[in-house]
Amino acid sequence: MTVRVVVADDQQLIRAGFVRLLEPEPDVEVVGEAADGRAAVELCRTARPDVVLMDIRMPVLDGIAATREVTASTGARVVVLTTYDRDEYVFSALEAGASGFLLKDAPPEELVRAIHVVAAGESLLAPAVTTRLVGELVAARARHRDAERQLARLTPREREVLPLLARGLSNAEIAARLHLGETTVKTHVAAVLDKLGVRDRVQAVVFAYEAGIVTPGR
Amino acid sequence: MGAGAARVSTWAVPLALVALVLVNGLLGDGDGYPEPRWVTVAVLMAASAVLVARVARPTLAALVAAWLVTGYLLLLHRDLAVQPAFEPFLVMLVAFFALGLHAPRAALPLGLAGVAVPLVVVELASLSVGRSAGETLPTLLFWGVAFVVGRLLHGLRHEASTARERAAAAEREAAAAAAAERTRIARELHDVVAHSLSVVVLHAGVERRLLDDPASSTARTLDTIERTGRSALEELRRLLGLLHESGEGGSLEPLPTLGGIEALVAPLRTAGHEVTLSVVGEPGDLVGGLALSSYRIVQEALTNVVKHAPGAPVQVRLERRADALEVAVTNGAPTRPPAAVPGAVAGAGHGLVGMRERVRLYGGRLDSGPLPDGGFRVHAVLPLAGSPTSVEPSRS
Repeated sequence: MTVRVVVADDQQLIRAGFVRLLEPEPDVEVVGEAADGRAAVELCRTARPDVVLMDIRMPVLDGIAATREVTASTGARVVVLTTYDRDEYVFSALEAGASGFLLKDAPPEELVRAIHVVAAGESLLAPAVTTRLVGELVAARARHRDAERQLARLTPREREVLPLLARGLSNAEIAARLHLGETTVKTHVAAVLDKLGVRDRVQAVVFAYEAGIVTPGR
Repeated sequence: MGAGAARVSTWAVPLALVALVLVNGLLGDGDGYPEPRWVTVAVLMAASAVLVARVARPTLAALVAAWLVTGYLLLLHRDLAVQPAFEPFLVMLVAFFALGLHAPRAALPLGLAGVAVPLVVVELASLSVGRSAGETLPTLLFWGVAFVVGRLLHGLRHEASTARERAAAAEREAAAAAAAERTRIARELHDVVAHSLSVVVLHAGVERRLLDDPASSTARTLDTIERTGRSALEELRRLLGLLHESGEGGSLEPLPTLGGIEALVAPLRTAGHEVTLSVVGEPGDLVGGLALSSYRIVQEALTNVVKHAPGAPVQVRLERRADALEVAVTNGAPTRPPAAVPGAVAGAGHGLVGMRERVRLYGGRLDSGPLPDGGFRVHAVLPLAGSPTSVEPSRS
């Protein structure tokens, strides 16, 4: 099966490079080029490509907005190709529906492979981006595990107090909620702060959010 | 008067008064120095000596001096009908002058009352017991003048120091603006370089892949270009991460080129400016930092026109000659009064600071200044020494 590709980049030399790379490929066909996001969206509607190589920083309509329109209104899948792998770019590209995120200076072999991988319905991130995201995930899980270890030291009553504390309730409000005396609540709060090794109530709130005991908007 | 001279006079004046009291009190004929004479001398010496504190604690020094002098007049000199010693008059002359010169505004009303009231009461009392007005009133008049002169000098000094502070603040602001502008220029130029380098790495990699023999020397050279370029790009990304202001989102717009100059003047037309745009010699073909800097110069100049010359006709001229790119933005007098925004003038400085930095980067020159017709002109010449032009890649 031949993969139909559209190349969208405002730099003519970059487009030329991609086209020259893909032309000799036996199962890839470049069906069109676009110099801005708006033109890319129009082209995708008429040329019906399988994959779009999309730059982010483009005039008229940027690559993120163009990705959103292309993925919403056509069957084409988008590989975002940029000069910078900034987190904002990665997240907004994926959020807009991109299936791949690569740097323009990636080895040509990787670019060709990305086109086939994405055309086959899978996703692909630049190795550096993947490493960074996985690293962040691992760190977050480690934080979570530490938090669980500390939470295990709390008594059942203290475990009831913490989420209420994290929602910003005062000692008096917590006492009313749990049908306890305010002095008792005060003792529990002090024990919670001590066992979690946090300085004050605000730090306890941060801990509770990081540990996933409470989530925003609940 | 220098600071050193001021420091010397701080203790020299009281010292001279102390010496005067000593000499007149102990060696003089005793007029104004009633018995017990050593007590009188001691009191007047104390009143003189306390003036050493007149700079650091002006109100307190004047108060102590005034009450010592009052004590001398009422308790030692006693006979108010007779002329007292001359030294207390001098002491109070200095005290009033210092009070005016050094006392903070808030301490003045109470301080002045505490100092002047006892003395004025005593002087008026002496008038009622037979001393002539010709002897009493000039004393009060001199004291008053000393205070007023001190106060006027205080005002002048205060103004001078405020002006100095303001100048220093403006200088700091300009330096900060220049630094911020330099960071911005650095960011943009690294951005330009990163994009160019991406093109190099991409094309080297593509050509390498298209070669039949991956072991050929051409393939190895292309591989070296590709790898070197890629690692340079990694360093550039790190550097750009540093230059980006924290929390600033990634831009979604490409860096502007001179081809976009038409779009730059469009908002001015909408805002009611009559804009003449003349572009000579295809400067739109220029790429890279110089083209970007020229664009920014026009942009800053137009921002200043909108800010300071609302409604004024504007001429934008871009001329690409063989050796230089010339940029000129000239506006006529404003047709509406500029919106009085505080800091608007500083903003103008900011723009010019940025233009100067950019022109300097390319070894060009910038003239800017008001015109006789009430307008303003910004004129920059940027030398084009082998500046890159966008080229079509060879498609062999």
